[in-house]
Amino acid sequence: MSLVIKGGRLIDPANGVDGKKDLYVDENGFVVGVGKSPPGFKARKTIEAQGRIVCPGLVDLRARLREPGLEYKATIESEVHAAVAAGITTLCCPPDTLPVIDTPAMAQMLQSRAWRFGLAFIHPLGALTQRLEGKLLADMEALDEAGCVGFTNALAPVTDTLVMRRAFEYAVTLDLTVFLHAEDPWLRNGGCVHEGEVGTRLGLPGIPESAETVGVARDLALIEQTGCRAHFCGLSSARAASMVAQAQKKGLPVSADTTAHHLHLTEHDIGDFNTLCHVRPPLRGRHDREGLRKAIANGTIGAICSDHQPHEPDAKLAPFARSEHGISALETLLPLTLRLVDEKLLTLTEAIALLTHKPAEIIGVETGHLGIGATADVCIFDPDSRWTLTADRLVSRGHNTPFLGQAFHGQVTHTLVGGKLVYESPGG
Amino acid sequence: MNQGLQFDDAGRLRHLLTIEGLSRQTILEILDTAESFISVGQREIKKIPLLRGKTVVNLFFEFSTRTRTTFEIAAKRLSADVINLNVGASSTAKGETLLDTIRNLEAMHTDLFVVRHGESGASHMIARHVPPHVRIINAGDGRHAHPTQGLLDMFTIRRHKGAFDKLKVVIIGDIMHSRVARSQIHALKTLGVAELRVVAPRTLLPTAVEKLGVIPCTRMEDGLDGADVVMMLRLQRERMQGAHIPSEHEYFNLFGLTPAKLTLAAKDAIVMHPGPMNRGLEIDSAVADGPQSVILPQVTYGIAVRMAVMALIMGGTPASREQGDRSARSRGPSGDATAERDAGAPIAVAGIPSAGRSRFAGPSADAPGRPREAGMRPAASQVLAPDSAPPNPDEAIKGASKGRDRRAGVPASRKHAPAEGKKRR
Repeated sequence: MSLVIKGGRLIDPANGVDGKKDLYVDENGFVVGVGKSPPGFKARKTIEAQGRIVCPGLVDLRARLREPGLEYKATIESEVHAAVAAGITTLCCPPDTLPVIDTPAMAQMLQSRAWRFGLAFIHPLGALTQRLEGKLLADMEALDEAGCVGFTNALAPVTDTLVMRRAFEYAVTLDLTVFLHAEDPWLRNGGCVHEGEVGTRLGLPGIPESAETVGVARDLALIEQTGCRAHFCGLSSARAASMVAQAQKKGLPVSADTTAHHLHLTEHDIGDFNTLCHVRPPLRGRHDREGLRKAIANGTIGAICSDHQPHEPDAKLAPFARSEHGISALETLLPLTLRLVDEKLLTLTEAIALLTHKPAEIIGVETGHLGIGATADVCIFDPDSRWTLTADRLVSRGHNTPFLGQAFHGQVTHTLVGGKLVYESPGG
Repeated sequence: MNQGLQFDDAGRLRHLLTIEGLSRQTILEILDTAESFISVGQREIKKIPLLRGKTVVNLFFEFSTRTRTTFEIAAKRLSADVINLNVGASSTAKGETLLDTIRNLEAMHTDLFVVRHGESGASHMIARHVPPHVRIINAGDGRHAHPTQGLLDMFTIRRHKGAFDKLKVVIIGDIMHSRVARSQIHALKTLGVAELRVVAPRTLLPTAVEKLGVIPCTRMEDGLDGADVVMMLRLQRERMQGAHIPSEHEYFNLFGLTPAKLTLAAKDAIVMHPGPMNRGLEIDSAVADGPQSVILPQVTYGIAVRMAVMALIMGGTPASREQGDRSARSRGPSGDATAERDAGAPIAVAGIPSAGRSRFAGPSADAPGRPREAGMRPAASQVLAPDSAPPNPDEAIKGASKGRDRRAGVPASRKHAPAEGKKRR
């Protein structure tokens, strides 16, 4: 259905657009006009967007939908609904499902199930090694053909440095991007919080900063040697961020992301064993949060992701170290990023870029912008609307978020995927 | 940060999960109450009826002899019904979650859980999910806290060294993995010791430990210098595996407490150890059994301190009952029900019906020689104030503790402690 989004402030960082411009979308779901109607265009539907921001649909580099294998936590269906309610139109899924995404069939299955709901686009990340065991390489070419946008061992370590070198070399052969969760497993040593003040006070086994920096250093050395394009997922420490910055300065093909919660929370938010703050990598000190914010502001870190991990309630009802890690985070991705604008760290355009075309470039997918001819994946939000996050209003099956009860502003009112209106907030 | 969970709306201690967050006044109240209970253990009939009719479950997910036994004795001396459950970590691994275990026991109308668990934060988690009338005492959770041990250590220090504010205290050993050390640190900081040092190789000192307000040292000489109180920690023998120390031999050479090293401390320094000791690893037998050791009195005091904690938490001491009643009244109708149930019950029924009870409950083997009227006297006067029974029960408890010569009690237990076997003959 052809439609026009009228009267909104269009922010499309990839095309340098920021202004009051109407957006015209044809019946095939493509953008056909920005600011002025193409000749002969007839809109069958009008979305009034006065006072609202119109921007590309958000691209989330890391969200676990729990399917297949952990459907008691969440399903593709439940989580794509949550995604579009949060303005997210493209999701990347790590391969650590049950079974692992290390075959083309698994990759295709995931996408076809997502297609069935016709809500957000799902792009799988393929396994770097078979069953994520860190021993034998996965069939990367076949997985690439099946739609995987990158390759990763997720949180499972590749302890054998030679296997890691070969994986990088093979990825170079096929011109693929490797996604890295850089962490030295021996230094992590079963830790569950940042090794620092709070871990010491609570007697929880810590993960030292060096677990991350040693992991980053090893991988950077191999990247430098092999020339592989690589993306560091979920940086948590100031030092790791500055190591990536140095590598970028040297001209290495590396990018990085961090999560919205690492930009807001620190180890101190764990308070008295708040298992909702149990995440991997761990929330670190204030100094690290500041370092990550700096890296976001100066462009070292090119994307903010949700690292969405919905859980059933029992997963968090255990002593801290025994509780499962992760936050149900799709629905706080945009609001937490907008907070960085309030806090004057970013301009609104920069914030939107970190959620749209920049992550899209990292996965090499043609989305995240609204130029003429682009697929009309659109997020419309009311920047002034104030609301409080409650379990009731969460669409995700997972209610495990430490932000419950907090006030936010910026509320998604409409989400379009491929020109189709897939979400409209109750208030319109 | 812990105040919310450990205290009820009226600010009374509801659970004991950690010493962090307890006020100096609360700690002193526990120690004072414990003083009044010391005498109970020295009587022929070692029982008072404060927790009569209450059910205490000792829920131990981790093996323990000393702590579990002293909690059991403490509860029994307060006349509670005690059930010991040793839940191996495996049985929870079989499927039942920790909360399910608790809920099942709660359904059996348990009033107080004494919980030991291998994971830091286990007691917090449980306390967050039990109904308001159920109480939790943390008997050790992972590396986090062992508050009753910390309190009994404070009791020991106060008995032997008096005021805290002039003391230099040193804690030596595996600080990193020790819940005992963390509880001692919080208690000693709250009570305001002059100086608190911790000594360990860098591999066993937690990161940022100085944020807890201690002075970290890596040399025994620095830590012991002029110390008034030397608190040793147990070293797990498997620490070689994690590459924390090279060998037992080397650890003993560097960090073992020997008579020679002890001379660096103040002349009248006391030596403490939470047990069980590794003789020849962290402590030389000559020190453990020497004149400065108060290690066995620690165990004895542990019972009184645990009685005090149970009594306070169950609202069972005369002092806290009065406070409780007052605050319940001032809080108005909304808080009344809980306050009355919590605070009112134990002592209110203590006086009359327990007279008969203590006769049955008393150790019958020792009893035959007892004069008959002892069993017939009301329990309150019998137990709390042998000579005269003041009308105010508050006075009774204070009187009991004042009546005892503190200094007299100590050397006595020290004297007979190492040679306990002989004494029994």
